[in-house]
Amino acid sequence: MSVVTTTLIQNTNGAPEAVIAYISHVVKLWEQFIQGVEKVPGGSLVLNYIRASHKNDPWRTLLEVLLALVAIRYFFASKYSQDEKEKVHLSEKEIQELIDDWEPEPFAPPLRKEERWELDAIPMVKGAAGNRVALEDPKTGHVIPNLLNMASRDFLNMGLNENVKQRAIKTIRECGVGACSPMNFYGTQDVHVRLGEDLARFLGAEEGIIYGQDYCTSTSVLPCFLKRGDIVIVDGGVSVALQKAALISRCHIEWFNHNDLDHLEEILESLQEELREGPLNRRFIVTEALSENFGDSPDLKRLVEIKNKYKFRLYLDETYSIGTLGANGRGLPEVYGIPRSEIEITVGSLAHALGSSGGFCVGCRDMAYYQILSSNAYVFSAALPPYSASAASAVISMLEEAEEPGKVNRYVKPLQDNTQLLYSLLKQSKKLQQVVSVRSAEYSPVIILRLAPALRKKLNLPESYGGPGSDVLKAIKNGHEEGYFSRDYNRENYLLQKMIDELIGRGVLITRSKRVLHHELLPVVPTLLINVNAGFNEKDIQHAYECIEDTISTTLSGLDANGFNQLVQQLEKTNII
Amino acid sequence: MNVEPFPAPSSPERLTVSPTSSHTAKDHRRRRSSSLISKVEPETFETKQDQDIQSNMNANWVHFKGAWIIHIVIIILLKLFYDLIPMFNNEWSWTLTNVTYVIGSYIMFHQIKGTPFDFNNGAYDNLTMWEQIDNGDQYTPVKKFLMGVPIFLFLISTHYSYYDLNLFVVNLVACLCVVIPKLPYSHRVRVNIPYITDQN
Repeated sequence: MSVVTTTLIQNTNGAPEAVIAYISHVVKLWEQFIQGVEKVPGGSLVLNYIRASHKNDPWRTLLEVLLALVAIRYFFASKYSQDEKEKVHLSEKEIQELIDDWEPEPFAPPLRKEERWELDAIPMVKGAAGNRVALEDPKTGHVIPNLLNMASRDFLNMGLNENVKQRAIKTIRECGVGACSPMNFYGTQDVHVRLGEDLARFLGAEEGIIYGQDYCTSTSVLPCFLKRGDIVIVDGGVSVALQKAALISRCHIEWFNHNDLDHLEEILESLQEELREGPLNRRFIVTEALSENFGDSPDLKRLVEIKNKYKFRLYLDETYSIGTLGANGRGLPEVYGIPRSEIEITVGSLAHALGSSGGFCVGCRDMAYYQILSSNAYVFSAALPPYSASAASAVISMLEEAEEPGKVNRYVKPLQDNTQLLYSLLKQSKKLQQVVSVRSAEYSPVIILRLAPALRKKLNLPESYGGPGSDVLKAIKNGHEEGYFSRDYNRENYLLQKMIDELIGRGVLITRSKRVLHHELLPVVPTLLINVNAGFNEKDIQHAYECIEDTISTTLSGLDANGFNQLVQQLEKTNII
Repeated sequence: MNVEPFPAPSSPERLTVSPTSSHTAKDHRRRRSSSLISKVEPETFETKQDQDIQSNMNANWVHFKGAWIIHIVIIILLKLFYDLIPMFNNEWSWTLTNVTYVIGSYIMFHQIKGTPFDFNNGAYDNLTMWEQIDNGDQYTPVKKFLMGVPIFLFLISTHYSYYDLNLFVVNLVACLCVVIPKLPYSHRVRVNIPYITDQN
């Protein structure tokens, strides 16, 4: 300090008078300013405050003043929004112009005339839909009686079982036909609770939870447990319900090739580094016990080993395997002798082998209870009609009563025998081998037939439709609805329908895959579906096989690109809209 | 009957392309900024939609009157608490009050990200509570108040206690620790210190 003063004095000695006068002027002004401030009410308070906190340290005072200035500046700044920059500001006139220009799109695009046949081809069943049905032509009123119903997924033929019917009727007499409310209001009735218990007991889980519809079970259960930042690894052949479920959960999705557990392990291995360092998230492997699109099952034993090794949870969709696989219809885990507790979440449908309607989810108690408040379909959708619940309970109790150790359940055995028989007949048929390939495995009650690769090539049909990189997905991305239509896909489906129509004339009702191409994330191949039923006898199967073999081989063998074009020509020609 | 487990499918169905180009997505997730200072990327349209599903309960409570008063009450209680401990003199008691408040509010407003509730599908997972308040708008009344509290606390504590230089520095640094992250320039900015912070 003293050094500074002496240098200052030395300098001022040599400096002109004006500078000294100026400095003394400034000092005087400063004193006047201080006195002025003291006169202002409260001014002395401020000065005292500054003096007290100054404590002979100008740096400290400077810092505090700066801080106070920041606060004051912050306090007087006016509010602004971060989003404001991104917003487009339009004048009143521009807004009006946009409104005038706007033409509402129709809720649904108009039906194409090429697609009209799809609606006409829907069969109308007269009377109850058991394993034998009567079809009525809605235009002529002509009735075809006593068809073998191979389009129904009531595999165990429980839909019209007298015992099940009586239980359903009893419940209707007690509490009417509808639940009329979501489960959490007054939708839950005793039969729902009983069904949850029955399912949990039957499948060997702690707790079961019932959903009003099977399709929305997965789309509700999976997003209930997964959110952003979580990881789900999905089989690359799952049904559209699971695809949508993974999509709307907003988590990160990886796909492994259908039932290719080596590929699954490869993906898990490549994720390891990332999983170790990130925050702990929820991790699921999602697959189907019996694939809807391929009719085969994963190697569950290895799958469980893999998920335990990599600390993932397993989400198994047993929609098709409950009631059809295993000695007592307990699904894939029964086949492999794996306890249900190894599978964290099991979902399934009551609408197929259990002969009712609705969906369910079973697993550990906490998992099921969590859904009561967090699962959208459970909280917001109407509960399952009580009679459906008691019908499903009736089926389960029948299956449990018929259980004998070391034997295949007498309700399940005919289904498995019939499946085996029809599968081997179709697989060994020489005539069919050239034109169609059996895609499903021998244990699948849904037998899946596809056009053989050689035939597809001959007819100039692509290997598959939709899926990654396809025109349809591009059209969806760009919002071009007219691009959703695939001409080849429509034609191939039409060819399959031709065979179905012909089979109806011969007394066998089969069906085909009906997929909306722009809803599928994965590539699809149109297939003929033959659903085996426990209610058929050997003669029925033999008859069905002969009809199917004959119809398919006469339609397809010798069919070439020209013939195919002629066959489907009427699609583009017809004028009915 | 002992059913043999099913054999593995003979020819696994091969997908030509993975539906989500998983590799680019993975790179995207794995990419971590090597720079010390990075900025949180703006939300995608989808995330914004999820943020709008429901008002953000994690950030909205700061608008209540009680939420403002509680800051003052907590500070007074802290000061009383430290005054009651005989081994601390006035300087120490003010410093501890200041530092305790700062640590608490830093953890609450600037450390923890996301929301404790699951209403927005994790759409706020990358944002601190300060960034969630008023949807990230700046200079809103509540932000002015919350900015003013630590500064005011610092100024009066330096006034009422005769800090030595060491304590003064401690208090100033503590104050700046909560003032700087609140400035508009710090919005969505993350400071990455290798091995200390685990920010993404």
